[in-house]
Amino acid sequence: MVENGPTQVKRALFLDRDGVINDNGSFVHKIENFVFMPGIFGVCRQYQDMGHLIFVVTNQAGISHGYFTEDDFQTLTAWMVDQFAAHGVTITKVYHCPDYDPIMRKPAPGMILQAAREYGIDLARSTLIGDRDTDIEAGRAAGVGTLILVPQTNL
Amino acid sequence: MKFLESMGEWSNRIRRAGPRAPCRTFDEIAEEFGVTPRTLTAFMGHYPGAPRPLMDLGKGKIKAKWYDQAAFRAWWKTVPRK
Repeated sequence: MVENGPTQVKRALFLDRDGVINDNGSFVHKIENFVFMPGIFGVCRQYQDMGHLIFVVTNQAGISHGYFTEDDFQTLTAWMVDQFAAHGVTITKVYHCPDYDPIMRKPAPGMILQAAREYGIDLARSTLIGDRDTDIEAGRAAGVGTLILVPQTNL
Repeated sequence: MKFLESMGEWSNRIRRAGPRAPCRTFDEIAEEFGVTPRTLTAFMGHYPGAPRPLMDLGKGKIKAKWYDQAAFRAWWKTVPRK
């Protein structure tokens, strides 16, 4: 694994969650309904081996809609991070913004810019993978160099 | 309903445009220029060519406009100051 030394500019892989990490069901909030997308661990390992820090940036509007709670989200997130760890992938941080916040919530770039500030990320050399136009808009507004739009899935 | 471009065309257009510097909110731009948002708004109304927001998000009192900072700096250079 390539380490991000003090003089080395850090790169990041930003992942949307629903539709990229897991199949995009309706407001997934239970472990039993969380189905990882085929190949997601391999993709993350490759980016990690190239020296990218891995972040998840997800809105999770289901919390503000009352479909599930913040605790439900945190429980599922802890489990998801553990699953990545079991496959050799370190998720550096998971950002979410369930409330209607025009600074943070995608398509606003706030969560990505916050990650860049907190971890010293070179956004122009980073990559974002999303399944919606709002993901790509957020990445472009943040100045992320590579934007990947994957087809939407719905089991 | 007729779409102007497909998702693929849209994705290609975005990709071809390449990366740009991160957008900034109006308040961040005003802070960088050393003026209040109210003053910057006045300048924008008085001097032509001020950039339009790339994203205008929010509703009611919870709003934020995101701008291309390079375009804003280029316009700011054209604004005469004492």
